[in-house]
Amino acid sequence: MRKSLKKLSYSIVPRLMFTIGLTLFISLSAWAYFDIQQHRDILQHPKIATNLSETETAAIISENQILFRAVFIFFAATSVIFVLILWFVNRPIRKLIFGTQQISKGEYSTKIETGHDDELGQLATAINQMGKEIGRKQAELNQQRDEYQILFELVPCIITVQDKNYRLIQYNREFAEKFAPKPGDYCYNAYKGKHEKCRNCPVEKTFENGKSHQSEETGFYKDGTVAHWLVNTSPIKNDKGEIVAVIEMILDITHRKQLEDELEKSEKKYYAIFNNIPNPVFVLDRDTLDILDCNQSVTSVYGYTKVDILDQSFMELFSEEEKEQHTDRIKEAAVINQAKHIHKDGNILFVDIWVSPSEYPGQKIFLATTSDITQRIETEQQLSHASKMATLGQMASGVAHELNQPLTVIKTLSSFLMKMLKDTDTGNHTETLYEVSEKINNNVDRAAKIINHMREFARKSEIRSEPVQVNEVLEKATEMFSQQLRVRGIEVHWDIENDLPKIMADADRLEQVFINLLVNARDAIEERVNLKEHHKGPKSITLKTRSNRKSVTIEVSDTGIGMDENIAGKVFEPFFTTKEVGQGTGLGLSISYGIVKDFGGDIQTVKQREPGACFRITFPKQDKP
Amino acid sequence: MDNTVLVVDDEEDIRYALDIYLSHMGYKVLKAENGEEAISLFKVFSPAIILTDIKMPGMDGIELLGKIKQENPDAEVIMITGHGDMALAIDSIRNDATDFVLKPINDDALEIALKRAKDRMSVRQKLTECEEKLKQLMAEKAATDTEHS
Repeated sequence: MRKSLKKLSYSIVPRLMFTIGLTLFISLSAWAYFDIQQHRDILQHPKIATNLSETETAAIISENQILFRAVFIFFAATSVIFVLILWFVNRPIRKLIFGTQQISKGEYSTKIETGHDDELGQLATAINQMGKEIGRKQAELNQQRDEYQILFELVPCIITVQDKNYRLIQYNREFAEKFAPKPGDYCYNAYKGKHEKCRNCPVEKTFENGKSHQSEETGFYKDGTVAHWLVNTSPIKNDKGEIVAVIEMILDITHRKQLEDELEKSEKKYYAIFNNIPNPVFVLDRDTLDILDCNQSVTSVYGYTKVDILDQSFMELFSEEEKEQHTDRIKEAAVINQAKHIHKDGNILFVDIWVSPSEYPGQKIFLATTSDITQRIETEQQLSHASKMATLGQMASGVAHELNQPLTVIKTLSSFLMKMLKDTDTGNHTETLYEVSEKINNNVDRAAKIINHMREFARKSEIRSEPVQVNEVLEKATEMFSQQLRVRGIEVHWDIENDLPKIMADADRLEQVFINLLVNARDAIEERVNLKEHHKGPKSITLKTRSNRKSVTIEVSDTGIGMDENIAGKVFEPFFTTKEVGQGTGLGLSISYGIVKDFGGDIQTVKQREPGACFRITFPKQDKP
Repeated sequence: MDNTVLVVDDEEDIRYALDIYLSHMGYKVLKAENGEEAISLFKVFSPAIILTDIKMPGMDGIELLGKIKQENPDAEVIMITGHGDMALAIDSIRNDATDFVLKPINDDALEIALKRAKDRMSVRQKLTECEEKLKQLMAEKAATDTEHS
């Protein structure tokens, strides 16, 4: 209550009331004073009482005086009020205005002093308080702004703000340092030195739909180094929600990009290695053994392309009979030797398989490597065949010598017997005895012939070779044989290439080969003729020679009984014969085979449309000296 | 004409067979089982025809041929050979063997070889006879010439 009273005493209202009161008091006092003075003048003046006109005059004068007094009093009072108001109201308000102006100018430290403790004083204090408060807030704001500005400037990424035309409105220091943009530069120019916007622009998209967008860009820094960036955009909207600008934040991912590139390169490198491993490599699912991946060598070895066998079971490559047997072994990651795989064209491949467990990202797998050993197996077979042959050859010469001895005895004795029986008549048994001796004799001849062939076969003569004109040899061989053929009504057709290039061989041994083939042809024709149902039909042997850039080919074909595939595969094996017992030794063709091989040639049976057999011999052409 | 044949072979049965065969053909047969024995027999009996195997332990047929030809260049030596020894057979012909027959011995071949040997012998004998006659004629002519003179 006292406080409010005290406050009241400082308030401006009593002061104004006091001022007005004082003014009224002064005015009334002045009025009263002038009124008394006037009345005394009238009483003392004689003219007033006697003279009416004088009275009237006096009244006029009095009226003038009253007006004068009123004006005076009014002005006096007004002056007093004016001064008082000037003192009490106007000055403090001006101070207040000045103070607030200072605040609006940012001078928060200006203190307004009204010199009074009244409402205006309080107002001044309040304004002072407000100024101080605003000052503090402003300082805080400024600090915050500075902080944000510093953040914007120093953030370790590139930030730009762009308008709809991709003009850079604002950017941070990082950007300025790295790109040295010209004032009013455009995004595409600053980053990439382009003259129009990029095709896939995240800023454009953000302007379109107001969402954040991302992209990866490549450009240059001002020093010319290539850089890769990850771009992030977000819209800046005004009060109405319109997108007025887009802020673009860019992270330098050059290093990461380089790593990625290196990774890609490295991956390419390893993929190339994987693909170019000469052995087929399969990546298999560990449970199903499905092929998840394979290298290019698979195609060259198996004939299958990747597409053919991807997601197929690895076991499908095995031959039927081996599928089951090997499934477990593969799952045990064991080494499998000489497994039978099937080529796309159905041929059998012999392969060694190595399986090793491995990890694919997120998947357990087997790495299966196969090695095509078909050639090796074939070579081994050939080698074993050759060594068998060599042993046989050695045996043959030994056997031949050994057998010759008893045969000599038998032969000589049977000859003697025959001679004896011829010379002397020993009764009824002579004929039988003679027949027996003759049989012995004939069989010795037959045995001797075998031995002869075996020797020939085993002969390890050094290979003499000289340029040979095959046509001539063929003619010579046929000439020797022509009588025999003519007797049997077999015709010889010649289909000879004139000026046939020469080959390197031994003419005599080559002749032996041709004679052998002619003998076989003759026998085959005879055999066919002997079969009743085939006794008609042509009886002919065709001799054909041809040459190409590299080789000379000779074909001897007949219209004989021919041979099925089974026989064709065996004809070059020693002791293989289809002739009747006693007719052939089974060594003729194998000897021929050996001779042809000795001169670097090849002999094989050829399937032909006409019935009968055809043998084709190929020799490399003689190199021009 | 001398009808003796010396058969040289390391195998007894072959010697036996040839013996019986040649004897039947009317030859007188001597047998030797190796080169040394053959030479000593040859020195004693000087048979006109020698039938020898080429492959023998110790002295082989070729060596024997050489030695016999040294003793008597007119001896007729027929070689017996297996097929594989063709080179040796030809070798022996070069060394003045009469002929060669292949084992197992074909009777015709043997007979041809023997005939050839005998032909050579008879030719040689005829030649000698002619020579003798010529010498005789010369001598006679020389005698008459001296008589006349």
